[in-house]
This record gives sequence, structure tokens and C-alpha cells, in this order.
Amino acid sequence: MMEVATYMRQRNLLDFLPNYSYFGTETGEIKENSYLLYPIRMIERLREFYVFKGIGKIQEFLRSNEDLIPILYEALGHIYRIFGPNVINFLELHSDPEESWDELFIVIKSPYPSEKARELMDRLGDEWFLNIIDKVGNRLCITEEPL
Amino acid sequence: MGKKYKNPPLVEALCEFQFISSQPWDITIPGLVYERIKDKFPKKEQQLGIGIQLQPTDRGVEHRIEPVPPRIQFRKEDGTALIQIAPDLLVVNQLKPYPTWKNFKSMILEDFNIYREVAKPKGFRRIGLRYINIFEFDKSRVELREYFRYYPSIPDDLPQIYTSLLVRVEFPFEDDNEILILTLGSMIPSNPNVTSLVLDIDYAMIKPEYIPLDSVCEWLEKAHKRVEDAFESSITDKSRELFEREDKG
Repeated sequence: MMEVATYMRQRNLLDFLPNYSYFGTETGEIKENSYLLYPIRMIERLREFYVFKGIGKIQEFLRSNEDLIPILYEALGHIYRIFGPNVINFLELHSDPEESWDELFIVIKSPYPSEKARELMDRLGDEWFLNIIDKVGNRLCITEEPL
Repeated sequence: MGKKYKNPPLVEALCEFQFISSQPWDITIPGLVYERIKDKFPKKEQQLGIGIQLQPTDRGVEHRIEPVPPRIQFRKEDGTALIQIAPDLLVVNQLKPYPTWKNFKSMILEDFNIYREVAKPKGFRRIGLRYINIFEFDKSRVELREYFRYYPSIPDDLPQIYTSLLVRVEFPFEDDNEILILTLGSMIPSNPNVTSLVLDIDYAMIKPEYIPLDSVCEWLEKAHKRVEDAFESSITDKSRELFEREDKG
């Protein structure tokens, strides 16, 4: 009998199953060979890991700032490594239309007491965010809030 | 020859070859291919892949986000076409402007032959010829049946307004060895004032080694005909008016 993952790969179905790595035979890579649709699939798939507050505007912002997309994935690895799995990550877009200014915020909602959460946030900054701040400029910020 | 349009909705055509290899992947293959194509595809890029694993553990589901081997892209100077190479994968992508099927096919075959000579694959695991069409409407609500003959049928007793859609049908061909995958879906618009829909038509050989490496030229012709027929069957004359029919072939 044909393996489920093989069957799905043949039909380009893997992208339609967000958690297909449960089948255990794939790397979880986003399988999209279209040059134009690849970043769109990457944005769509972010919704499995972040709660988008105001989905339309965030998606448009990311289409205009495609270099931030891999950074948002990379962020997840560091967030889960430092905060553990019991956090919920939000994306929020803060705008000032008068100054044509948009900034995307990763908001980590964690169950920890404020002192512990601040300590973890400082660690996240030291071990990751400060290293990429030159790349993201004032387009991406990361913060923590209680759950 | 199919119909020609002045402003076709086609934004990308691509041909994907997944191979069965005769030997373990040799990391020098992309470089050897580049040596042969660099006059036409001089720009090199790496597309970083991201692997997303969700693993059940005793603490709940844990996420692992890991890089996967990068895909190498070789692009034309003007950015209108590219070739992508990853282990046992060759993709030939044509972006706008589409240069006619004859020219696109010729580019596919030329690049396929170079890859074949360099990588010496044993056979095909899958081949797909895919045409991606994007329809953009300057309004927030679109009556699908006016523009498409292929769309979701929403029963009257359900709300008639929806924010996103995805319809996908697979049609078997050649005793289930090949399929046509027809997908109509909403997509993230390029700006907030438009509604974007993508009509994605993918004809694929899905049974490994169903056709031999030498038969790719004939297969491409058949695939192209089926994609073209599916496109014409999926749209209405009102759609054709949008992209200004030029002549009949």
C-alpha cells in the first residue's frame, strides 16, 4: 500500500495539511515550487504558529517586507527554546498613517510571573534579537505580555 | 494552438521534475549545471528552506523550526525566468511576460537535457506542468459565477458572503497515472483595495517512471493541451473580456 506521505506528495497535497510532519516522513519543508506563491505560502503557514491580530493588514505588510518572513519562523525556534512550549505568540501591526510608519510586533504571551518573563525576554534579546536588529530595523519588534 | 489574450492572467508557468536518482545526491550538481547555463541565467540565489516539525512529547506538542538544505535558484538577468535545483528536483519557472508555449517548452527541454547530462537521473518520480493565473478585481466582492465556470457552490441556506475560499479537484487521466489538479482559491492581495483569486492548473504524471526520460517532449505537449483546455473551460466570456481576447487559434 502506498505510503500516505507519498500519495500526498504526488498530488502536491502536503501544503494543504498544515501539520503533515505528523506523518513522520517529511522534514516539514514548505513544498512550493512556484516562485511567486512561495512567499505567500510562507505567510499563510505562519498562521499555524502566530495569532494574527488584524490578518489582512499583517499579510499585506509581510508581502511588502518578505525578508521578515524567514525571521518570523526563526523567531519561533528561539522563543520555544527559551520560553518553552506554553506560550502563545501574537503578531500585531502598529501603524502611524500620518508618518507612513508600520511596525510589526511579536507579542509573546507567557504564563510566567513578570520577573521571570522579563528575565526570559532579556535572554531572548541577548541570544537572538540583538543579533538581527540591523536586518529588521524599525520594522519588527518583540515584546512579552502575561497570558 | 490556443487562444491568445492581450493581458492574460497568467503570472507564472512552471515545469517541475522530480527524479529518481541513480546515485546519492552530489552537491556539486548545481554548480555543474550553472557552468552550462550561466550565460542565460547568470544570477545566483539561495532560497532558504524552513522545516517545521510538530512533535508530540510528554509536555505537549513541541515545535521545531529548522533550516532544510537550501534550494539554488539561477535567474535571468531581467528576472523573467529562473531554474531551481534541489536534491533530485529541477524546476523551470517562467514569470511575466510569458513568451509563448513554443519558447517556454524549448527552455524546459534545454534545461532538462543539461540537468540530465549532469545528474544522470534514473527516471522520473513526478513531472508537473503548472500554470498559475491571478485574477485581480478592483472591488471587495466578486460574483464568482460571472467570471468562472468552476467555483464553490454555496447552498442558499448558508451565508453567501465569505472571506476566503479554496476549491480543489483532481481529475484522473491515463489510468490514474496522471492527474489534472484544478485549484481556485483566494490569495493575499497585493494591495488592500483589490480581491485576488488564483486559478492554479497543474497537470502531473504521478506514477514514478510511468514515462521514460526520453518521452518528455511528447508528454509536455499533452500536458500543455490539457492545462490549456482546463483554463478555457474554467472561465467565462466575461473573464475573457477582462484580458481582451486577441484572436482565435
